[in-house]
Amino acid sequence: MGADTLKAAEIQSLYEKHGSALAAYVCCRGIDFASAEDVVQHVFLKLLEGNILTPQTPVAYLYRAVRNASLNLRRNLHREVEMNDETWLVGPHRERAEVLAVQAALRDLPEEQRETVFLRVWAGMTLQEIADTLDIPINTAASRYRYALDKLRERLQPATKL
Amino acid sequence: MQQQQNEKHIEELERYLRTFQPRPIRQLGVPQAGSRRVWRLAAAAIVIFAAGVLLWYAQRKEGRAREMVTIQHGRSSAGMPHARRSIPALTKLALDDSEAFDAFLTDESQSLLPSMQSEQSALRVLAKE
Repeated sequence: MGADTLKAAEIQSLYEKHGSALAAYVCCRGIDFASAEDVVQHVFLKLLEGNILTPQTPVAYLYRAVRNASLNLRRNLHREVEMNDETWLVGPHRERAEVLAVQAALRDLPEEQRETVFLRVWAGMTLQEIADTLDIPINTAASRYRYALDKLRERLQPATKL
Repeated sequence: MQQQQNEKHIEELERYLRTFQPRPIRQLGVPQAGSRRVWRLAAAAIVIFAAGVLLWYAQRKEGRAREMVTIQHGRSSAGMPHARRSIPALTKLALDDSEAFDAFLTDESQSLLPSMQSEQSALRVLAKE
């Protein structure tokens, strides 16, 4: 990636590769799927307008951008959006009930732990990248992740025999 | 030993969680169902506006037709009360059909001014004197 703006093809490629995970990340922050799609689209369309200089780490930038956009959306809605029975994860060989159980387990985590899990598991970030994206020390990111996984294991154990 | 077991559990859990994938997102730039709803609302608003304009136009046309009927009526029966004729209608009548207008004025004067038909009418007596 150069120092100037991203090319349309690069943006399209980023969208295809990370769009779904970004939308799920927004959902995991308590926004419904349709609004999450809008948030992601909005961020990418702004990139396509060419007003944003190429960030050093485009993926981290995208996660930060959709995170901020979802915060704004929640603020505008003047309420905490209830994460309902809508699925934002899919499992090819999993039943809907199991998907919902995983989502519910994630939902029960504190938000900062939940997003750490998401960024590690579904965005494929390292702890350092998570720390950079969320602007927190790496030790904080590591401990949040560890606490979150302990809780998830406890919660999902009976169903998954983990 | 304990730490190794913990690491193993974490890996297992991560592997399990990764069997789920984020739900696919729509194509970039494709409007969402919500936007379509907005379009439908806009279309409904346009239809309502068009219906309003049509209604207004129809009422205006009906008003003109009524005016024309009044004029026509003025030609045939000039004895109608004065209040039912508008100035534009009378102007039009005067321009289009001066005979009808004269007849209308005659009728009006007969209905408004005291009659001289009766033999003992005050005007007839005064005229004789």
